[in-house]
Amino acid sequence: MEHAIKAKKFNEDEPNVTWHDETLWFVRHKRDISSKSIPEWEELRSMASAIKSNVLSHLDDYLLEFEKNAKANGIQVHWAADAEEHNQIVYQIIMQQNGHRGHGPRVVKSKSMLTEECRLNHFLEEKGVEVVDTDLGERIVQLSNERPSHIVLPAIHKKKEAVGELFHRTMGTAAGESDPTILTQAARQKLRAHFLQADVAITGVNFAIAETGGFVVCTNEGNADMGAHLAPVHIACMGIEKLIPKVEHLGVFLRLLARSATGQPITSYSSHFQKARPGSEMHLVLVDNGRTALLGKPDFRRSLHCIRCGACMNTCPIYRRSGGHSYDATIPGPIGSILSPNLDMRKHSSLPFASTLCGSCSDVCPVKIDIHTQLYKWRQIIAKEGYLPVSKTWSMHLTGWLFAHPKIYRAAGRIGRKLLSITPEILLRQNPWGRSRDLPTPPKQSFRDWYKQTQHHEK
Amino acid sequence: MKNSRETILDRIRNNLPESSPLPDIPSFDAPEGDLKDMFTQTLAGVGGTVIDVPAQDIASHLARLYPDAQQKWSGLPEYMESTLVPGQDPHALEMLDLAVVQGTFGVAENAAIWVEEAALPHRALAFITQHLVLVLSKQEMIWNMHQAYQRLGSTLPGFGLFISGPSKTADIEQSLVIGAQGPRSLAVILL
Repeated sequence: MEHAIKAKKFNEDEPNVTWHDETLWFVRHKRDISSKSIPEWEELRSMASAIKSNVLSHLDDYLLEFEKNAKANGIQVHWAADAEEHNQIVYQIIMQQNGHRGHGPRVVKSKSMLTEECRLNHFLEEKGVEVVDTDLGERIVQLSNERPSHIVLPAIHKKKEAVGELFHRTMGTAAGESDPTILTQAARQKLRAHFLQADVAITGVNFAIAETGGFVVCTNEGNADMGAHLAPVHIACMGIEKLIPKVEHLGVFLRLLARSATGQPITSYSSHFQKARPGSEMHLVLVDNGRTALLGKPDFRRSLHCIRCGACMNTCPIYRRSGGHSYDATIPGPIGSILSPNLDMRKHSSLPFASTLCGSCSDVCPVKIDIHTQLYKWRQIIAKEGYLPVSKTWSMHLTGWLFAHPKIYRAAGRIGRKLLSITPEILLRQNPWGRSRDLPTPPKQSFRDWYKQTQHHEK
Repeated sequence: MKNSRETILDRIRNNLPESSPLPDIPSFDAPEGDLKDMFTQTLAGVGGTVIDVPAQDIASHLARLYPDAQQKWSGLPEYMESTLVPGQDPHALEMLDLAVVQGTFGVAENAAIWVEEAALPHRALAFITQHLVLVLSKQEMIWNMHQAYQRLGSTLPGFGLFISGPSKTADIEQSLVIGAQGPRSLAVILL
């Protein structure tokens, strides 16, 4: 299976897996401390979930209310049915800007999982537009020609020595320098120059408010604001599910978001954009790209509640030990494993199986998405659609047949108990599950025989 | 052919779930204790510091804290003189070392301070300055974000933001580094 193969590769570097596992678990731990400092935490989760359910059940009305108010604020609102249209809209806006000093328009972009989903950078670069990611983690993966391995900690798969080597090659830092402070300062200087030269700033959107026609962007670095307040044009890109009805609902979500993500009480900057500053343009692109299809699936629509905090990744025993890239999806981890099959079931058919169904993801989710239940439900659909790997299909058929024939099952048990005592351990090593396990000592009799015997004695 | 706006709205209407009500949002009471102390403690946790000196000592205190600041802008001339006069272009703030800005109110639970664009010559100033000082009245302290949004109401300014601590990142091996793309420090003067 695709995920298992990539996870195996990640597991070749054992110390790195241990580091990855423990580091993300520490972030989960910080989330626990932070959430427990709020007595009403569970109430907030329920409220957040209820607000999102309300949004989904009136999404058409809220989008129209938002559009009307945003336009009244002077924001230019665009609608994109899919990723391609989103990219075209952004490209058209960029190309309306005049470059300077013999250079085409320069673009800086802060973190936006939507633009990752739409492969915007790739699209623009093919058209000759240079895009500079300005979040430090995003810049690291961009310079490495990689994609983020985590939605909040994009470069968590990289050790500081690798970042040092990368910055030495691309920014001219000293060879062998791997101190995070020195590397961050080097990136700060380079990114400053990009901010000061940018013609267009692209940002994501954490929350858009129907009532006001404005939107909120949260960062710790201040990079979204450095871009948006310096460049003459600001393009904010959002999935249509990022809408909330009223300003007062921000109180619920901003209390949950950073605490769930990193354990911080709030991000350093929570910027409320309502109008463009004088002399500049503000655009907002509303994107569907499969979201309305998800809305039509009652078992899966709650995944549209997601506020992209990453808590489900930090807690997931599979994610922590397989790394974000093993999912080969824009959004990895538990939430990504229920969002991705909606976009491409064949490509992502192995993801709902990359879980122990332990339910930890659902427990930490600040908007109460039933993630592990949805993972289980996707498995049923993927099996029905015929996307299971052949080995799994055959073994399931065989097991099903065996369970349906009690006499043969009992005979197989008798033979199995005999064979088990003479089976070499090496055979177990052929099965991925058995690789780190030992064969058990065979019991003398079956449960059925033992039960009969015991009943007999009691009589 | 229908445009994408109509296409998306049609798809939503075809897939719309049963109507689900909005919950009431209570404001949740503050715990026992002094809000100012809680604010100060939380601010330290997010990398900021509180300057708690008598009003008449603030100017000399700032001069001592930032002896190397050359380019300065202050929204409160009684505490610091501006040496930089902002023009029309925010890019001219590139070399700004220190800014003193009036905050509207503070939130004790997360040490966030609401700052409106009216307090800034340019929106970019709060980010491009190397060091930021926010001035806040002790009377303007509330407990949590619900109370913050009750106070703000539904009419927000063209731009406003909550600032909680200096710019920071932990994108390299989860090591906290203060001073990512924005201010390298944040101090709050409580009056």
